Amino acid sequence: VSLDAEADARTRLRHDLHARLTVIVGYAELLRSRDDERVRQQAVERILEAAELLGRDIEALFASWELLAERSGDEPA
Amino acid sequence: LEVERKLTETETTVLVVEDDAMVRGWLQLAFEGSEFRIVGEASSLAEAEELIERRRPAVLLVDYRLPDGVGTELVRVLRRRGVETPILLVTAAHEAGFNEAARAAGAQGSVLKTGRSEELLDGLRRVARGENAFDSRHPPRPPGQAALSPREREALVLVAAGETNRAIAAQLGVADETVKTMLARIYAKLGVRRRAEAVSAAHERGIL
Repeated sequence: VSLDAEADARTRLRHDLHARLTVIVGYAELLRSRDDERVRQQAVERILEAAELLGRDIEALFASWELLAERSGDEPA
Repeated sequence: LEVERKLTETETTVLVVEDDAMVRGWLQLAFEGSEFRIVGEASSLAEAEELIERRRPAVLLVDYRLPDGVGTELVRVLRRRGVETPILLVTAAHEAGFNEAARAAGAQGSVLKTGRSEELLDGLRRVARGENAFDSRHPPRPPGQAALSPREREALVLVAAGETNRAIAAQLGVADETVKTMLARIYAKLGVRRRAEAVSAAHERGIL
C-alpha cells in the first residue's frame, strides 16, 4: 500500500465522520429554528440516517485500529 | 425534475461541489430563505468543471475532499483557465497552514464544516462581496515553515505515489543527493520528520 493510499484512507474516514456530524448538527439546528412540518419530517429522517451511518463508520474505524494493533503485535487497549 | 425559477435581483447563485448527498440535502434546506440560490450540484471535480461552464454561478462552495481529488486542485484548474468566480472551500477539520494553501491555490475563503448554516452563509456573503473569508479556526502555518516550491510539490507527489529517491531523481532529472536535500527542505517546511508524515500533512493542508 503506498503512503498516498494510507494517508488517503485516513483522511477519507475523517471526512466521512465529519460529514455525518455535519448532517446531524445541521438538521438539528433547522429543527430548532424552523417551525415547518416539511422541514421537521426531513430533519428527523436525515438525523436518524446519519446516526446509523456514523455507527457503521465507528465500527470500521475500530476494525482498522484492531488490524493495525495486530500487525504491530500490540493488543488494543 | 428540477423546476427552473426566475432569479430575483437580490439572489446570488451558488454552485455546490459536495460528494455527500445528505450534506447536499441539508444545504438545500439551510439556504432556503437566504439570498443564495443553488443553481447546480456536483459530487466530483470532473462534474464541477463541466457544471461551472454551463451554470456560470456567482460563487462556488467547494468541499475540500472529493472522490477524484481535492478542492484546491479544482481552484487551481479554474484559475489557470481564467475563471475568477469567488470560491469558498469547506473543510472537515482545522489544519495548520490550510488557509495559506487555499490562498496560494486561488481561493477567497475557507470555512469549517460544522453544521452551522450561519457560518457557511456568512462566508459565502463575504466572498460574494469580493472579500476574503478565511476561517480563523485553521491555525496559521508555523513560523519557519514556508510554502513548497512547485518543484518540491512535484517531488512530494512522487513520494506520495510510493516512488524511491532514485526513481524521483530520474523523473525530475536530478541527482539522488539533490532529491535528499529537496526532501529535507520539504520536511522542514511541513514540520515533519518522515515521508509518511509529509504525505499526510500535505494531504491535510491541501498541498497535494
